[in-house]
Amino acid sequence: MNTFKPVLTEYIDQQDCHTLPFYKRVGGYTALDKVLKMNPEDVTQEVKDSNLRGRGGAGFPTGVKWGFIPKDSNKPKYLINNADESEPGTFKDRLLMNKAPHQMLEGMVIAAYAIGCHTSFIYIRGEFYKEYKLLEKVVTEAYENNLLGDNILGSNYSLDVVIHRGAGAYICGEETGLIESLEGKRGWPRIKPPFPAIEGYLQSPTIVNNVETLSCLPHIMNRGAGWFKSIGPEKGPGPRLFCISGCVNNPGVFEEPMGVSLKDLIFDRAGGIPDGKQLKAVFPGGSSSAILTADEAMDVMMDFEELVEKKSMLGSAGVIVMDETVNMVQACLNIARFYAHESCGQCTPCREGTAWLVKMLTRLVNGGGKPDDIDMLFEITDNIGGLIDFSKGSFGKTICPFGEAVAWPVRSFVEKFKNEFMEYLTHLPQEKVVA
Amino acid sequence: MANDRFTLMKVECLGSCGTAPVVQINKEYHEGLSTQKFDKLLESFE
Repeated sequence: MNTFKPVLTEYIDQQDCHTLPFYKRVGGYTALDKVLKMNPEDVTQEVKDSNLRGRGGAGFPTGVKWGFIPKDSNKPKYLINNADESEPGTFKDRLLMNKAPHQMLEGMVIAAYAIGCHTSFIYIRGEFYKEYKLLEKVVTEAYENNLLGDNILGSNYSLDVVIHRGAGAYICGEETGLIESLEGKRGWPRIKPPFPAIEGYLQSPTIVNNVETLSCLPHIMNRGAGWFKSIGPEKGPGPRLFCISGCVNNPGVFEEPMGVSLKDLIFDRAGGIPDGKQLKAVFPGGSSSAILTADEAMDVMMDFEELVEKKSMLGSAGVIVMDETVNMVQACLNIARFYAHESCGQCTPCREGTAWLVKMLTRLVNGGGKPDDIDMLFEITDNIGGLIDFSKGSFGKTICPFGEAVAWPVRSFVEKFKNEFMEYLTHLPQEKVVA
Repeated sequence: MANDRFTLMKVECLGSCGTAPVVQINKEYHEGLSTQKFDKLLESFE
């Protein structure tokens, strides 16, 4: 039935899987050896051909991104490994760092070689202290074994890797906010263009790639773009780590081919919903994705394109499951509160709008809702994240996509569970308010 | 919330939804908690 064999997480159950000897025993760093004998352009081409798309959330084609690095620039190039994993519902990068750190590091060296970079960073979120300590060890080990530093594996290519700890801000996972933070400034996202590939870290060409994206690279280089493309839908193929949390019997990270059905993920891999309760709604791709109702969720493939068609997104593949007992108004308030707390405050619509959402939803759950509140919730989300017309791809009232990331889920709650919001206008439900 | 020995803060995200509820005490994560386990954990700091 399920013939897919995990690629990125194949060895994570084995003892010492995080060590260099183990990784080498299972073929680690052979891809790097091969890559260092190739032209950097050919490496980029191979990744382009594989149709690998970013695993951090935006899903941008990785090889295409690399291709934006200007060929004629004499500035240094930088590669940043985005390990700031902070999208609610997502916890896959932490697993990869704990269990397969050398796989990620090999991916980093491959990416750095392809773009002509000699100084690379790992930007890891501050809370991941254990992972930070482990990565420090891993990087030192790599230097000692000629996998980093000067003349890697006897080639004339050299690369340094620096680990930088973030301080726990959600916005620093957005690539330009991350770059600002890495430069020692407040993590305020930059206006694009110029995109980081043209002007990023220290105004130099910079590529920011996610941990999981980088971890795919050794496998692509070893087994070829054709193999990678044969896994799942051709436009967004490959293995993918799905994080399932919330109302399921067996939450966790599951590696499956792209395009797996959401129903299988929830009811097969994650063991279904406890106590025979009914499914109510699902976030398919982290808390920034619009929620799907149970009906929608039972009939969707976890594929970039298909989720866009459903007016949601695959995002970081953080699946949050809600069962029939979840109060959607309270859940919506919870989400709004997260975004109000994490809004960086740079753009007015987002800074003010998120606070408004929290105030209005709090008033609503406390019984003070007014008849126009529902319409006003729509108006506010539209003012933060643009009038949401997916067919026109309307974005852009804020500098970064944070605005959309709050507007889409909140709007989807109110739209799809309007009754529950209306109920609060007339009488308060039984459960006591947690506001 | 705080008493003379502990300060308790609710935080937005620890990147560990799969093993919730989670607390971070100083630099360390304690995952898959229940009220009983948490009491025990606090006792270990006595």
